[in-house]
Amino acid sequence: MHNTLFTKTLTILLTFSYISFPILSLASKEINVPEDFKSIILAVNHASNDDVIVVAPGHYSENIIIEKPLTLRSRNGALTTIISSDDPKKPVLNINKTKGVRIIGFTIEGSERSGIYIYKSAENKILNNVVKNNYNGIHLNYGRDNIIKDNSSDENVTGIYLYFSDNNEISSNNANSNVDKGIVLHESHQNRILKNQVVDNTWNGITLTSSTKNVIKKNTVVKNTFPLVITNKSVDNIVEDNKTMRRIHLIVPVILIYLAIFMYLVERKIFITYYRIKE
Amino acid sequence: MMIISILASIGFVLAVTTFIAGFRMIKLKEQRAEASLHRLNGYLTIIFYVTVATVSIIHGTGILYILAWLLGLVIHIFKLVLVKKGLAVRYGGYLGAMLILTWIVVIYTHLPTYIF
Repeated sequence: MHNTLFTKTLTILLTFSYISFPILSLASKEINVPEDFKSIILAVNHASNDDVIVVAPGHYSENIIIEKPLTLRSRNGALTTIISSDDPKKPVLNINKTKGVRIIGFTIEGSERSGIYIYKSAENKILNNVVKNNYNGIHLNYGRDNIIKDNSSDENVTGIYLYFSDNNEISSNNANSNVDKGIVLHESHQNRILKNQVVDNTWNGITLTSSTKNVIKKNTVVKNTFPLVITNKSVDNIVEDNKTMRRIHLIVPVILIYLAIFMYLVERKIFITYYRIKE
Repeated sequence: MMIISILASIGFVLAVTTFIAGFRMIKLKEQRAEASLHRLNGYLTIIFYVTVATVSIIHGTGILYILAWLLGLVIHIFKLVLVKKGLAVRYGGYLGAMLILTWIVVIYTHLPTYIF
């Protein structure tokens, strides 16, 4: 009887460990760069799905392709963790045909294509990055259900560019001082463009071409040549509560001063004439 | 809002003309004309200041903004008090400069949006 009980218990324990061991070994692990792997590319290539790659402060010269779900984050934030493009003709970070990638806390620069390029990928999160001196700062190409939040995409040619990309959230980003445009949507639908700062871009602040059913709300779009450009084929968009002002408005106070000087001279003449007549 | 921008623009123009007249008043030539211009435009400026402040506050601003508007009004009233007490020549220039700075802040924070 005892033997039967013992055997049953042992069987249950062995079965449980046989089942649980693979599950435990599937739990995501943390990989450190450069402690575990010298470069981010090596870490990404050796990572399993859902691993977390933590990158120490430093300057990395790489072009990284990510084709599996994982988290890539800096240890100390974007100011101290810089990824420059090794080959300027490629994107610095290329999220390619995958889901569930998180890019958090990097400075990404130096690509003549894109700083962050999301191609045919969904449900990724791009958070708290500084993306600058690229052609397109953040570029979604056939991306959907992605979240682009709390990034600075400044001093690129185009700050944030959505191409045939639907149902993404672009919120609380800066798209400032870009050589061409701040945020561009082309053939992109049902996106939410919320609470972004789009300031001092050379041409358009926010541009919609052939893009429908987007929500453009609570953005600050000032000091661009054209704040909001929405083409005829872009219909059924909700555009409300945005603060807009064109760059030309800044010279209005100067014009008012010239007007005041002119008005002063006219008034002075009137008063002088009046007092002379009175005498 | 367009109405605030227009009111602020007119007030700014009046403030600048008053400022110019105020400085030219120290010259003896045509002093009566300068003084009349300065006085008229000065009172009009105060009226426009109060109007812009009222419209701005009605459309919703925080306590800090209300305090800022009040501070500007205090500077305007202080200038009038100085004139009544005969201290305008001695201190008027400083207050005039503060008033024009106040109006520069007003015009930039209500930057005209009526030009497209």
